[in-house]
Amino acid sequence: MKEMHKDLERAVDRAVFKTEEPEKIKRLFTRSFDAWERETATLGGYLRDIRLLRGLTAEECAQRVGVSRARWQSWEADRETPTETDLCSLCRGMEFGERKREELFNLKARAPRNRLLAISRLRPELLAARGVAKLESSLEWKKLPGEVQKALMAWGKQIGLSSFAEVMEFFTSLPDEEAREAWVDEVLERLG
Amino acid sequence: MVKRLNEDRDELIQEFDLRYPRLKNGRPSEKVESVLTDICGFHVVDEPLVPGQLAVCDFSSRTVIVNSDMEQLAHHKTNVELLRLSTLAHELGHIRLHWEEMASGCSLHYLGDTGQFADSRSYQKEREADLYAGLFLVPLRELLEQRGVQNLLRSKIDKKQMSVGTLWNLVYREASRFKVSPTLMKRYFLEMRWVRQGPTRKSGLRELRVRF
Repeated sequence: MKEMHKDLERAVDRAVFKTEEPEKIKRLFTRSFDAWERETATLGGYLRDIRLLRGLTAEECAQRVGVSRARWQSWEADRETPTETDLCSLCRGMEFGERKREELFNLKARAPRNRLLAISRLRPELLAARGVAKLESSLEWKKLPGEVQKALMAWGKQIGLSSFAEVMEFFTSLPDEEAREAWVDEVLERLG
Repeated sequence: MVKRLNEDRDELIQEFDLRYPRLKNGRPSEKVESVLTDICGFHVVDEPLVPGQLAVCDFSSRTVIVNSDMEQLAHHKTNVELLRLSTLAHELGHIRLHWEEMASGCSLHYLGDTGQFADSRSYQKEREADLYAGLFLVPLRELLEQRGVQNLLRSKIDKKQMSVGTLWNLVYREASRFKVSPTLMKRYFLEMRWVRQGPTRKSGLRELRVRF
């Protein structure tokens, strides 16, 4: 019986993780947990997580909150941050309790940081095909809140970068996550 | 190829139906966006893109950006919502078929066939994504049940040509039945090798002929 149980466990491991080695399974599990944690650490990720847990489509959520589907998707993708009024109607429409409401407002406060980190992770060379890169970076730039743009330009001037394209080029060339985080802290410090 | 694509499509639809049993009876075109976001884990956002470009699929940030100015690119008679859904299905094709090849890059989807392709594989990938989109939105077994399509296949077997007008009518009729864009339906017929495309006629329509 015990042997049968072990066989079954091994079969499940093979089917789910494509391996039976405990170390590999642990690594895979940790990696997917880290990815999940990273994804839900932003306002958009949090919204998406709740939506999936509740078994709702983006369209249904948008209807409940009274916004367009496109806007809901932009919030989930962290391309746009909901205003405080939006957040209030979101909490009403989705029937969020006090705890979720508080979490959403906390995440909103961290949104500029997440946005900056997200654009620093952009890789313009991937969009370079057919001259799209230039336009893409200008579109990304336009999506940044005005005060973040100003802080970025002021920071850029200090190190001799005069245009937004040069600033964008600088931060998309940062080598790793640590460097990106340090850079985002530096810019946000300027914002106060 | 068609068999493999159909299997993949059925798997995705099954996963969608399990997640949203109340939407089970909807058309595939009503499911495509949720399949992209909730089954494949991509974001779909509508934002302005370069003129002529329908969508960008960025694998690194798992985002499909659909051109929000689509109505300015398309012909005034084009149903923009159908064009958008067909575009999403095309991007889904890239995600399902070319993930490994493009995991570190992005695919750009342009309106029409005018884009210049870097190499023959790029062109082939676009055609594969078109076929996937067609099979996703228009289930082959349902399409084969349509009398017009049966007539077309009979003509193909009997090597009997059909008129250009009849073929275009068939494309438009089936496109409207399955709620997809006529361009996608035409590409479906082309990729299935049921028809071939000739030069543009005086009427402005491309010549369509049964492919023997």
